[in-house]
Amino acid sequence: MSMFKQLVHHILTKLQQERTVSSVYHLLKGKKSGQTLEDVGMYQLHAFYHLLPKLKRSVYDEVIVALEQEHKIQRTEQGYILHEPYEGHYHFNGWIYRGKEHLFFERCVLVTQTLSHVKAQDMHFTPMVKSITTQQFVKQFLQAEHYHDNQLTTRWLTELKQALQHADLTEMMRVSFVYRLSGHALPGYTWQQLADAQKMSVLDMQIIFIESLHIMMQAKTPLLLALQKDCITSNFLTVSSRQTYEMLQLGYTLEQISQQRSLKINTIQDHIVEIARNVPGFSLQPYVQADTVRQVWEAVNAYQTFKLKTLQEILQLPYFELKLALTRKGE
Amino acid sequence: MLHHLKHYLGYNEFRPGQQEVVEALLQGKDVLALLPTGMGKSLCYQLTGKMMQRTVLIISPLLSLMQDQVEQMKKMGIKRVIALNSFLTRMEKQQALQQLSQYEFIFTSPEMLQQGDVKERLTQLNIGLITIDEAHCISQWGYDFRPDYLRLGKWLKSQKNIPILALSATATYEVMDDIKKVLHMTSPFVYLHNMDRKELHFSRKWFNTTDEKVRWIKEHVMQTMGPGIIYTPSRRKTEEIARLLQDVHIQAAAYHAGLESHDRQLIQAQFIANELEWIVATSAFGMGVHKPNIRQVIHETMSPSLAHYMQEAGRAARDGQDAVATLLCAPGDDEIIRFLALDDLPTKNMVTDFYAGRQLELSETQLRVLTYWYSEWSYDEAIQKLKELITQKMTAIRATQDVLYTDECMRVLLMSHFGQSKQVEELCCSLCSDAVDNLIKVRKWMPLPQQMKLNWQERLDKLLN
Repeated sequence: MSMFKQLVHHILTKLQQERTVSSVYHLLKGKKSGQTLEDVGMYQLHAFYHLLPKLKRSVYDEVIVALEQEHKIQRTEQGYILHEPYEGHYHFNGWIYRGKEHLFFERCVLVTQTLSHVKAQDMHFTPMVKSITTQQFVKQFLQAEHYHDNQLTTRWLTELKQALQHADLTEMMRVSFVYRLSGHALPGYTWQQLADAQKMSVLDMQIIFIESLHIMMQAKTPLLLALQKDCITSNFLTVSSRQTYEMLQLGYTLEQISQQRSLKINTIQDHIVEIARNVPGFSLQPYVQADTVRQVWEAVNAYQTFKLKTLQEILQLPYFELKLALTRKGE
Repeated sequence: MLHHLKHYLGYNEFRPGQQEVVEALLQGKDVLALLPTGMGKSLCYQLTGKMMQRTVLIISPLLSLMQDQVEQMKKMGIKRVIALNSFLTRMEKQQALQQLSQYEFIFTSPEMLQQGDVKERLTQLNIGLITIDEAHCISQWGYDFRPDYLRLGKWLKSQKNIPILALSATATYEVMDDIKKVLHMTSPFVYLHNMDRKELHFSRKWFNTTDEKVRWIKEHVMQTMGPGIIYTPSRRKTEEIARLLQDVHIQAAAYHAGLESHDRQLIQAQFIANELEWIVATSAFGMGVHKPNIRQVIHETMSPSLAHYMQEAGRAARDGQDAVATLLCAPGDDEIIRFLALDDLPTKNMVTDFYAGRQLELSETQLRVLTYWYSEWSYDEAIQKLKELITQKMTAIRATQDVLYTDECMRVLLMSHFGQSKQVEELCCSLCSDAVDNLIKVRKWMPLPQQMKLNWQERLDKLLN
């Protein structure tokens, strides 16, 4: 069974038959529409957002057809029926990296290639990465780190080895990562060659590679951290909500934040709704009870409506709790 | 002269043609030089620029090639060199423009020269030489692919008294006339290298079907030695043939423009490092690849023109050792070649619809061409132009067919197409001598399956420790 098919199956399971099969495609492509972003929050799909921005629709459709033929799912007019759930175990972090993991990796490639040539005392080489911006970034990085002395090479090697020890990485991920790097008289492998070596498709290899990068980017050692500059998306909150979020993390209460910032309580509550939508794993517990969330969703299903006013009349709940409950399913 | 050559670039001697070209440029003459790639074309403008102590502008049609040349020059230690092209972000471009006077060598594309800010900035510089690289693109591609290369002529006209150097590796007489006309070159000094290389031998094989060709390729590659390139027009076929070869453990890879840039770089590097023995490629492969010891070039199908064919076959034997270029033919090739050659031309109906302002589906190239025609010519002129183009292309196609069907000598046809006469007699082509194929070395050992031999720690250590 292909990695990619499993991944789609996993997300379809998460979506609880409540969306169309296309929403998985939009999610993986990283579509910026309200619907997709809402799905991300509601079904907690941050991990998978923007994993495959170049995914072709035809490739995706093939997998859906295959899943149907295997009787795992069945498409219907409104959406799909899940005949057999599948839950995998993944370490993606698409929401944060949004394709920038490749930028991080390109930098790793250039740093390795350069240091390998320094070691061989041959500085005449054709850079594997053509992007001028990346070349300049790495050049500045290497100059700042005094790349001509051997210490940097030793540090780089140590950091890479340490990051590659991460328990979530498989041996196959490690070897693929290392074989994709190039050095002096030692060119790396193409996607096709990596995939052939592991007897899998190119797409599966690329998906696994992205997952390995997301795991490795958890490494916060100095050099690897420096190469992650601008690879992390953190501006998915408005400036004001971000401030509220930071204060929440410091332990301030809603009321304290409202007072300190001279903003209405309502405004701060709106911030929290925004945070609940956008910050993966943000807990609703302090603001609304799990029972209440369940009640809200029961009402939504019973009355087939998302209208706040109607739901408020039925349930007699504060708007804040209603809005919060609607950001999340199954919590 | 030799003293300057040694002083500025560190070489001890000129290769054929270089000195003549540099001398003519220093006298202020326009020069049209036909020199093979990999034989020091770039030295001509490098040395001239250094000796003039003025900025050299190099206009190059292919972005990847440009990038490669900049890297080559930096490798040589010429650091004040920049590529001004659409790879740059807006910020990078602004920065580059501001600092432009610091550079000795500025590479740019015909497209960039159409931009107001670039044009303006360039007029403020002390430019001593304008080089047009791959000048055959003006004719071979210019009319159909690169309208901006044509507009170049207008801009050059405004750059008075700056000598122009037009460089190409392959150009027929017609193409050379085109180049002179489009670039407004007045009585240029023309240098022609001898295309009749004794180390490059031609072979031709006929088959009944295309499938037979592919079967032959597999057998042949298993029995003989590379390094080599197999050219085929379709991306799908590069993958298919590469897979066939990999199945019998030949180190081969497919190469085409559909691969991502990093993968293309890796394949080139592996080929140069002799980790890959065969590249199965579309015409996208070759520009900027410097590998002297290529022993075989196989054309699964004839290229859409002899200029293309000679450029691709000519990638072999750069080290002066014998190599064989094998051309495979089968019934039906004519149609494939015709399709390839005419593929990007608009049809007459398209021209009519476009001028009438009707919506229609066009390829990117067709849209570019038609937009250019529309801005420059009337409908009648455009139709006339299209007719001329088709005639030109048909002539080019007929020339390729001559080589496909001749009973006499391939080399005579190839050379005469470029206005040269054949001098090499010994082992000239398979039609003149059966012994040509014997120049291909027999495979000495059967390759073993490739595998990742190292574990991850070992490979990391090999890279960095």
